[in-house]
Amino acid sequence: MTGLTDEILNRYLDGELSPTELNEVREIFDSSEDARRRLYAMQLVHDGLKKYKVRKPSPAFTSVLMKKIVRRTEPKGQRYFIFSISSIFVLVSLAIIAYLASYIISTGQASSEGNNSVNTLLSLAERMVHGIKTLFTAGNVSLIGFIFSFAIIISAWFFFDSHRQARTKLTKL
Amino acid sequence: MRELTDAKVIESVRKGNQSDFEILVDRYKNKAFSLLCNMLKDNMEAEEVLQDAFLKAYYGLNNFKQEAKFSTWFYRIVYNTALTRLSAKKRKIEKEMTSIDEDLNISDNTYPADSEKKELSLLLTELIDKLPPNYASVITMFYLEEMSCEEISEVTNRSISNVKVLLHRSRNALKDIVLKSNYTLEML
Repeated sequence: MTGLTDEILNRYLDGELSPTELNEVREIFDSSEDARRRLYAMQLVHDGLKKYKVRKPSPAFTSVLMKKIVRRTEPKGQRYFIFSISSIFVLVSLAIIAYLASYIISTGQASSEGNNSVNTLLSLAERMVHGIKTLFTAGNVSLIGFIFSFAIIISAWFFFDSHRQARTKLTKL
Repeated sequence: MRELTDAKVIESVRKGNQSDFEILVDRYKNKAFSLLCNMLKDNMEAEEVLQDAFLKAYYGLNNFKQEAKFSTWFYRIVYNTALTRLSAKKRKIEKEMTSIDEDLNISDNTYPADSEKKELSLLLTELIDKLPPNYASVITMFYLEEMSCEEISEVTNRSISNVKVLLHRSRNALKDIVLKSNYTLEML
């Protein structure tokens, strides 16, 4: 061993020196005051770091974090809810539009003799009004009412379910 | 409930007991916060990053394999989240984190003039705050989290010898400062 390097001091602290190296280091400590001083300084740092105090986040940290976790899980349910409701309404609207389109096309084919654009627009509007009237005849109204009631019941169920889940999560906290 | 092992708590959270995650939060928040404070040098930012790390851990809990220690897995998340934050702040992170040849110059200009009057642990706390993130993280994990060099190497994705170099250099720098004070004279 050529001298007491910092590396040797570190290995001494960590108990990584071989018995021979350890004896040599002890001899150096016995003979050199500077070596002893350096070891004491290193030992002070080592012991001081062991007593290093933990720092604490704000007292509300855990509750804020847990609320965030709940909130982040919540939107999934809400997204499902909104998606289901909007898809039902979109489907119903598409069905109505498809019905009207098919009605206009079918009645338009019968009376499509050379007429100008104003007449075309008027006849289209007329056919659309007629189509809507046909759609809302006694038999069809009950069918549409049934579809809308069904959609409302489904929405209410989804709403109730998401509300219940949110409440369960909050009570768990 | 508080005496449950990490593995049991994780199992319970996986079964849907979301609130049990709170046990893990309470168990690790202080030490992880200290590590982040030493790396980021900003308590507010450390708290934000700690929240992110816990959220990542919560949502990634299904990917956690029970054969590893939860603490090592979690500290890796904390460490990597801090690195991402540092990198986002353009603190020349690549240079600081990937190289251990960085200058560790905390001895002269940052040495507090009234250090003789200060409690040693307080002085050390101040000095750790001045260490670059890679040195500060290793020294915090070694002393505060009581991790072995092997565990630190797993968390930081460095070789064990690199971890030891960082640890020794930090200690040497701190020792040099202590030598300049009269702490050693008191002992001799």
